[in-house]
Amino acid sequence: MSWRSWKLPLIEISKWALLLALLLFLAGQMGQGKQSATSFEDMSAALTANLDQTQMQPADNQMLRRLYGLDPSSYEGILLYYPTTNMGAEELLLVKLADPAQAQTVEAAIQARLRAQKTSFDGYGIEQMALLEDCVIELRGGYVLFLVHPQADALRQVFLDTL
Amino acid sequence: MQFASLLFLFVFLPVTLIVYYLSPKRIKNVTLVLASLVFYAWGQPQALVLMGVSLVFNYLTGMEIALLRGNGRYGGAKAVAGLAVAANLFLLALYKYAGFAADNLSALLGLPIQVTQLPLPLGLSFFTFTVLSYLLDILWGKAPAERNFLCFAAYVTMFPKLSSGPIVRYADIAPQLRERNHSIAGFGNGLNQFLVGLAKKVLLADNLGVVFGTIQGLSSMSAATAWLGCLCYSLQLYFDFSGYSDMAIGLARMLGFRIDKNFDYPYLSASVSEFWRRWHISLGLWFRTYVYIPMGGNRCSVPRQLLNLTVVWLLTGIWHGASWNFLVWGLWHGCFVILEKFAFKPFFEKIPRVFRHIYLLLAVMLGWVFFFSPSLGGAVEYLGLMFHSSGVWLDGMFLYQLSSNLPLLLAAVIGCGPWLRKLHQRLAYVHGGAAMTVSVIAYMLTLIACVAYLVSNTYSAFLYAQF
Repeated sequence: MSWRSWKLPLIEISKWALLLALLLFLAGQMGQGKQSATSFEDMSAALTANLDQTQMQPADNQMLRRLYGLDPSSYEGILLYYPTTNMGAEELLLVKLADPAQAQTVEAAIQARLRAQKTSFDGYGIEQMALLEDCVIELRGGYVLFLVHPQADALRQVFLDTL
Repeated sequence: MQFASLLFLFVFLPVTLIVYYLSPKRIKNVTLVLASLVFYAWGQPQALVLMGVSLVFNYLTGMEIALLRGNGRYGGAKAVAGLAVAANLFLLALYKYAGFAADNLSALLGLPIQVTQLPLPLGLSFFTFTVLSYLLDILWGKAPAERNFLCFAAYVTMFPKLSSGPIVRYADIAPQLRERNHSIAGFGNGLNQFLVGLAKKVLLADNLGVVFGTIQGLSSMSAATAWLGCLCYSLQLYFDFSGYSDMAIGLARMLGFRIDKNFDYPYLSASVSEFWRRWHISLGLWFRTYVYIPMGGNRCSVPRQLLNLTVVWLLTGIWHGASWNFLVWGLWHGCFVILEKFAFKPFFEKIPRVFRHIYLLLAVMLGWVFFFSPSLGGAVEYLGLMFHSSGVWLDGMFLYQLSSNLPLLLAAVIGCGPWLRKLHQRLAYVHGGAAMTVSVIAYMLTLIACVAYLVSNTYSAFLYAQF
């Protein structure tokens, strides 16, 4: 058989192989992306109960917009604790997404906030820079968690256990 | 990655442009594809798998359709294209509409149907429509299949248009994928357009968004405040998306590509039909070319035309998002288009343009309420506020917001028309000399103002990126 006569069957086989690979990828993604049944209130309560808030204060919607540029009415739930002074870097942001499509917007907002904070403390805030370097960003079960805190790892575990 | 970010402006773009222009002509597409993949994968690297598989699958499908057509097997080509269209739409549906469908089926059947909602990959709606245009153009003989995989990958992934369009038809851009003109003048024009888009987004849209956010967050408001909020959103959305489109077209121009405009001063229209010929032009063209005309367009009976238009506007609505709000918004516009076509036409010609313009603005602004509200109930509530449901026509908040944002609103209203552009062109290009120097300084000051704003402000995503 000539190469020309093989061309169509080869394309067909390659396409089916690609479709199979795509299905496997999607199955993997679906396995990872399961929505948590935990309510936003329960998740907030679990995190704040374990949170040392001496250096932090809860933010209102205006502050949330100012620091993250996020519109609270677009999300199922959103909670922000931010530093009480300009010299603090401790922060907790918890977002329950109304739609998975929002994940990218929230992640980008977090990255932008992180960059801004690093720029602020770069060169003089050694402790703050260390906290920012060790920050936790988790996207699981329809929640996005951003933590800049000395207890970040412990709080992350609380988050994962509560999901 | 966002165009209006310091990372893009000061790292990604300069590095990409330097590498692109240093690359020999034959590997420019390689550079473009690699840069586009980095842009695409930024913050969402797992989406690269999806993009890679989809690219190869659609490339092979294009070849297969062309081979089958070449062998005279049009039926086979049609079946292959049909399968590929279904596969692409399945992916879009899975990522974008599965949750919406499951929620509504659950409510309808009374059964707890749950699906895992996946994070929507960047620009999936735009990407899907791009590849569908490619496959259908080949099937209908409007363009040959692309044999060079790099050219195909460059067409689909090109970072200027990847996240939010414009949706470029393959037949329109195919020649430029092989041979395009790189000139200093073209680069300069592209840079100008990019800066105009950046200013629209950073200086106008984001500030209008702050005003709108403040008003939307109020627990109660007068009718005047609700109208002001709606006006701010209408202007914000226009400057956000047309700003993005200007940046995309400008970036493409800097890379040697010419892409048609996506906006043509839509708020100056005098009917909803005209508005849609000037707003998100590439999407309107896509639906006309690949849905409306194949369904028979307007060369059929009136009932069939009504059906065709209803389908197109339902699809236009749902394309923007998986919610009833967008469906209602699409139908809202569809109703006006149908009324204008079949009922208003004889009267429209007799009405002065200014009244038709007011009608257009009211129709579009009221439509945006469905667009920005988180739910249908929220939209109805906001519409109620606009029509005095609070029992207050005017309050202190309206006067405060209007007076403190008057320069911004005036600048935005002026920016909705071509007057500034025409004045600039007349001064800088016709008179030249000192006016040209002033123009260059003005562009530089615009860039400095945008950067200062980006440094001091928080992140703000493009509104259309979520679609």
